[in-house]
Amino acid sequence: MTMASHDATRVPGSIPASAGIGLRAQHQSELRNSKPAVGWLEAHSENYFSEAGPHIEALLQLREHYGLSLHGVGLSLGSTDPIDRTHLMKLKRLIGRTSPAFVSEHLSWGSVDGRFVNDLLPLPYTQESLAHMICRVDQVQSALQRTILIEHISSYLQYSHSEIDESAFLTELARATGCGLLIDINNLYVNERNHGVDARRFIDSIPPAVVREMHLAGHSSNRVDQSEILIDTHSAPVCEAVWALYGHAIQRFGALPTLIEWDSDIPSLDVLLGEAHKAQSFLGAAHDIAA
Amino acid sequence: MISLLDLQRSFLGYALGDTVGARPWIVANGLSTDQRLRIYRNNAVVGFEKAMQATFPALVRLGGIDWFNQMAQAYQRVNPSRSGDLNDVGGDFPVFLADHLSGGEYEYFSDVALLEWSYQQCLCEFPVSPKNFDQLGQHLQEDLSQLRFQVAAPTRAIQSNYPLFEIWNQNRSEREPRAPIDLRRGTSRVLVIRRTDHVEVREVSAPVFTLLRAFAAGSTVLEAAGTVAETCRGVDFSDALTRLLGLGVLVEFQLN
Repeated sequence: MTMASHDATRVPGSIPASAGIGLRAQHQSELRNSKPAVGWLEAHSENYFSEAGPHIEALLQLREHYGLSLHGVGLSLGSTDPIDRTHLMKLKRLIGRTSPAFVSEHLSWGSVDGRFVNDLLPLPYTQESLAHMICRVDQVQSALQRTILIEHISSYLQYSHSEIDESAFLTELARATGCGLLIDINNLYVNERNHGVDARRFIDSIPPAVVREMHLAGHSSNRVDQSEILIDTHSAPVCEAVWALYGHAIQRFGALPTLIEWDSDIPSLDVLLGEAHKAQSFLGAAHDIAA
Repeated sequence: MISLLDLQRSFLGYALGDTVGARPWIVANGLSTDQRLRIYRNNAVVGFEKAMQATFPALVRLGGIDWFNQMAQAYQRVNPSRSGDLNDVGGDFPVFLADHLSGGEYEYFSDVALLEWSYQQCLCEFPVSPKNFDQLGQHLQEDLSQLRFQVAAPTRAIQSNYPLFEIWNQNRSEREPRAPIDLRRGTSRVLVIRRTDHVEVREVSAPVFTLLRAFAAGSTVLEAAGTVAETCRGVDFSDALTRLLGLGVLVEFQLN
């Protein structure tokens, strides 16, 4: 069967240093009809792997109006299993169809022995993990013939045998592979509250030159026995403490494309755009200072 | 120090619920290692359930969310996700349900699951339009033993012992009114067809269904006519062929 593809015009991808929103199925129709003023869109790569269907068609249409970042959640980069070539080739095809400015994945793993939990599981920060991740990022960048961004994750446990600071791990990964970094401000806050990791110190120790994008999101608070643990649910507005941390990150990294992530209990598009406008005001202030 | 491979096997085993044991490589820090790992186990289960709910909405309405989640969890234990794309889970769910519900009053749930999975598959495939049919008329007069039809790839044919289309149609969305369905009405045959801008689900007659399956298996028109005559006695073959051609699921023909 040979069919003409519905590819968007292949404009070299670029997105401005402005606020974007995650593309969610609930908002596709409204976005296509109203085309609101928002800097760019981020799409979860795996939701658009199919050849056809309403989701990929909506993405291709929206791509004609908005800059795009593809954010993967399923490549399981840190897994000891071989890279899933089928998954990688689907990602490569999607990149070809959408010409995104950024392609990002996570410093995490989610599968072993062919079984997947489809979650972002933490890696121990050891020399073994670092060498493994360098090899995997090299493999992916080579297959995709482009650099990718790596995002650190929020976590609910730490490993006793971790021997490298997370920010040092990321910095070395970026140095060794040439990949960029995606700094998720909410993840830093969640990890600070869950593990006592100093978020500002983390930001201050990452070289600004390797940071290309930032994420903002909401989280939820759970009680387990007498302890509180924050869960990175992407189900709420960005909290004030994360906004404050974002201000600090902008001072350190400068104005960068910043995404509002909201993946469950998804609100109306207006609410999402309101969050993006708030992020935009932070970025605008940074531009004013720079000018 | 535990190797990365051993750590991942132990961690993922816990997340999927198949192993227990001490994990000294996790820092407790206020919570037990089990409590910390349980967060990931919960994420694995809930994420899987949500993906399944999105694929099988009619089944969720039929069985209720608690029953559905229970089945999804049991299915995940024996058929964990094999890909980083959660859209891929659920392909074996109809067979899983058939094994669990066979002979019981809810055995038709597996047919509903097969219909919903087929729907999702067709939705993600390109539509194919019939072509090259201008010359068909003359070949139908003379070359029946060499004439074969190609069935459009994004088409699925499902036969059920229950009124499958009616069951699915009444449960596919919250808005559909629900009325009593006589489950003893007998066998039904359903086609799932990818159209240009939607997926069509429709019930078809036994001769049309039989003919489609014969063509999909590579039969010539003459062979297919024989199959229809054998299984659907007294049927007007040319009428069945005309009806099938009218559905637009035969996309090409070839001689020999």
